[in-house]
Amino acid sequence: MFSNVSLVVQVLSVIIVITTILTLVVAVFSYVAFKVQQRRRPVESDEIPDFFVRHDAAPSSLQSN
Amino acid sequence: MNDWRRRARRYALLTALQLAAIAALFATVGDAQATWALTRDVVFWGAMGALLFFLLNVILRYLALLGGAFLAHQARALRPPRERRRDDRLPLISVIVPAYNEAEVIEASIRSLLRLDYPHVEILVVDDGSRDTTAARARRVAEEAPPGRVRVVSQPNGGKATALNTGIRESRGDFVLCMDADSTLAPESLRHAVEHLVDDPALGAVAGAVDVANAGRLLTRLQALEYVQGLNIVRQAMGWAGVVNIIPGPVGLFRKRALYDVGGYDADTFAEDCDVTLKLLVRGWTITYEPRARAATEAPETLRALFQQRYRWTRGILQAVRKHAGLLTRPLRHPIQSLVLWYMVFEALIWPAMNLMANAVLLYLALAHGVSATLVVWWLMLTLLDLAISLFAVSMEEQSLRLVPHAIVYRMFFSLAIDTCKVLATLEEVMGLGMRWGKLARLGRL
Repeated sequence: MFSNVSLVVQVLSVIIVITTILTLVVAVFSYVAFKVQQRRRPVESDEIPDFFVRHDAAPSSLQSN
Repeated sequence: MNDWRRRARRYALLTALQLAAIAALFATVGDAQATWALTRDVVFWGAMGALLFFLLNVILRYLALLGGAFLAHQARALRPPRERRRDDRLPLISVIVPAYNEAEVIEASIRSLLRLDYPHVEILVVDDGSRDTTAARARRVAEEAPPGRVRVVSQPNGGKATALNTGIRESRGDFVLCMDADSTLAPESLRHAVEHLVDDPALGAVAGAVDVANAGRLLTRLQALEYVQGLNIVRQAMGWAGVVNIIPGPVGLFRKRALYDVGGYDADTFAEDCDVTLKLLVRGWTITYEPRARAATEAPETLRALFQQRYRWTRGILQAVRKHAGLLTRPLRHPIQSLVLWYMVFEALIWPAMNLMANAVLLYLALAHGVSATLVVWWLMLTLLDLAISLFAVSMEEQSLRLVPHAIVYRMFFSLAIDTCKVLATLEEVMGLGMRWGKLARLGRL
């Protein structure tokens, strides 16, 4: 009985360890893949300059009276 | 900002040097074998202590969230039912749909708005300089709709925040609902959400609940579970105190005066929804949660696309938190706002790193010390906790119980993968690396 339990524990622990390692590997791989894909994607001419310049939401026209 | 980064780097370097110095001290004191044995003991008990600390954090975090969500649910359940307001007493609501290259989904999104059970609604589609057929498709649906119900406004590409501001300026209603073009709204959403704003003049906005529209695959079902137990429950808990920390992009109803008060949306972060929420809280507006105002959104179907989305979310939230970082050190002047911001720091920075560290420690214990029983008990405890919480959250949000067993894969794979992405994105943010919006390819699953 005890040996069975310890066998189950051993098997489960191996599964957990392998899954954790695989998950970490897959996660890092996916992250790198996403970054590589992003770097390869051509930048649309007006994408960055227009987008990330601070825009103050036209406070003058948004101010309430 | 540069000074902050320089200090972070300096802190990391100094910590590494201190640890190296301590290790060198150990190595030079006593004979090598005794030093090694002592080091192993110290590391082992340090690792066990770290695991217990992590477990304590898990329990406290869940206790706080579940406690808040439970109280919110009880308050809602015990409140006498509101009388359904007569249609002629309902205010005009302007629904703003910013759209950039959303040709795949824009029609489904507008059609869902035409099915809303609300008498006074105007729909404003702001085409943000799309390079595809978004504007044409939106205009086609507008022509089919009752006259004046749908308006399509086009502007040069300026980003989501500017598109939302354009929509706010163009809107005629005193209340505006901002949503994403890749989402659809449940018909009763406006009716339930607007009641809060009509009843309480101090309320700046109502956050709705978000569901996954394409929950047909394992990865999207895991996201559906995450939306229920990780996001909606948090809003439920915070909504009880009137301090929802992120009004989700797919469904947020705002008092227009509150948006004017904070100057609308800013385009200096990649999480404009989080930023505008924090601005409202800082100005003293309260924000509640309405679970019956529901949006269904298209979730990424590949891990790479999911990481693309979470990368933007993580860095955007950190940018928004940094904008309001002054509140972190002024807990006496703004106690509630400070607490909300500290919670966000915990969720965005501390929790993912802690989860990764705990898993690394577990691996170390299993591989170096052969502590397999501890590993299994630990994992089973966390999984049971996740299952119980999933059951609670799914029941409360009245979602499918079939989501609950996914908590096993959620613990084993999903949360670890997402936290890895968050930690890497955080490192990039700290290092100040450039980033782009990283728009997801739409799948047309609405």
